[in-house]
Amino acid sequence: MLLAVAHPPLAATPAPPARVLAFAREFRFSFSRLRVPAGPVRLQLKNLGEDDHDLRVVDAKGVVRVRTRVLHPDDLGDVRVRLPRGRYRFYCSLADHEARGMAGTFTVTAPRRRAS
Amino acid sequence: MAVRAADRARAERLLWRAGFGPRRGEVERTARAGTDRAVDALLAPRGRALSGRPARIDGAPLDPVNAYGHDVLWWLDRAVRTRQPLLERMTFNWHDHFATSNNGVGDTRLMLAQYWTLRRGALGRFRNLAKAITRDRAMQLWLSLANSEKGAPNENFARELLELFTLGVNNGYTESDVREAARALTGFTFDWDTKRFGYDPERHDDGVKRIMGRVGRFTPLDVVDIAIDHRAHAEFLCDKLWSYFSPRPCPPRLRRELARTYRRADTDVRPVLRQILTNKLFYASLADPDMVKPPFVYVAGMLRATGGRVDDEGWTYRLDQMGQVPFHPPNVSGWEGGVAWLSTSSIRARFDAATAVLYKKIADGSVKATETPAQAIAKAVAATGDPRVGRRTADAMRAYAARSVAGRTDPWEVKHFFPERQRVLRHLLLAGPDAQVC
Repeated sequence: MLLAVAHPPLAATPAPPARVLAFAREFRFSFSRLRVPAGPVRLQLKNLGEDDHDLRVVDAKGVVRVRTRVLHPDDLGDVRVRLPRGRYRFYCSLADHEARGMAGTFTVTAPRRRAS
Repeated sequence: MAVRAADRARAERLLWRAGFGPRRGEVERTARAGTDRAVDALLAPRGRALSGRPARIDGAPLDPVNAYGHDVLWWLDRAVRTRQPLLERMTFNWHDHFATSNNGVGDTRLMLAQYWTLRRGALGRFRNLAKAITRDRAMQLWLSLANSEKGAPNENFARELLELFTLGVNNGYTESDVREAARALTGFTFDWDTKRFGYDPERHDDGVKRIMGRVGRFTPLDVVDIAIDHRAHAEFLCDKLWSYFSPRPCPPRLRRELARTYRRADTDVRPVLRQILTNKLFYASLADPDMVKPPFVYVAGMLRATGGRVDDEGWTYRLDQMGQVPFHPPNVSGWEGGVAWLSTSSIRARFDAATAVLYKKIADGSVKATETPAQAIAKAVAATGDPRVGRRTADAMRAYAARSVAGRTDPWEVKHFFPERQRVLRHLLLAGPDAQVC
């Protein structure tokens, strides 16, 4: 006689955050990627320039989703955030940096599917 | 049959200076084979490049492109796991020679591509490597070769090609040669919006140039040939190669012999490296080594010797504290090296690195009170890869091994002080004065 034993479902392991590394210098950002899967994101910003910079990320409704502190030259900023699908605009909020070119867009795509 | 001490010392010298230090058992195997055979094997790497599993941080694979500092960990992991140590070490030496920093490039993908360019050319013809580096995208951004165009040539790369990469400061060229070389090097393009690299003949200065006595409508790679064919190049390059393997000045006669080998081999560095790694001067002062281990080699070697892995992001920070971060040399001249590696703060960082390697490895209560000083020393030596130990260190270890637990018999004392003795002994072997040199 076989006994069927019900096992409770295994607790899902939280997905590690998607990582993005951006470099800031006068006057542009370089992102390691411009498409990330929806869900937890760890965004690091390294200031390679000679001026202070920061990074703001806003969603399609204009809501600020990421706001780093002001980074001095050689500083590293590290932000963790959850981002749903959609297009986002990023820029440096200091002085006229956005107008000089420190801006762009990236896309958050469908979340990664984990193997069951 | 026991390995002779002299053979052991030669093997250890070779494995540290022509690689990243020995893994457990490697010194004995190399000593038995003999250093000449070992050099042949190092110069002809075969099989898998890496052993074991790739590093993971917090359960996830390294992500050198998207995670800050993971580029450093990625290269450190390769150095720890390499089965082709001379090839990997020469890749790193060429990274110092053609020093390019991601702080200036700002694109880790391009830096990783440069790593592979250096590795492909590491044990081959220097002429080919220099041309590949001229076309390398990270280099073109770093030294402003991209978008240097007719009518406004940027002299940055031309100057460093002659001054640092092929001839040496003011060694056979003039300012006019630099300007003319810069004209010949025009035409490479980079679009900041599309991130596309290219070459546009319309932006290349196709006029006649005069470079170090040669006249012609030279194009970018012609400049590399002109520099390498210059009579001053061979000795300059061989002197530089020698300096990666010995802290002593290269004697003039040896430099000329190496240059002759280099020219006869049409700039192939392998016969030059064989000559260096089998030269008696390379094996000088085995009992009192005098070459300071560069930080990257020191850290990789510690992990190789102890069977450790790259498993925490702190290694990027520790290498920074020691003054050497791969992919981030301080400037286009590379790292200064030698005794410049040793300052009060960098020595402290090396000390902290050994602490990190030993962290939580020896728990309180893990050593019995019956362990003798000799047994404690033997265990510490075995756990750290049986490194060379000088007389002063050996005496200090024997004295400490006896003194540190003398009279400690209470259970709480045995629980703490016997494992502490083991920690200190291992730490001394990994971070003491003998461990800094090879």
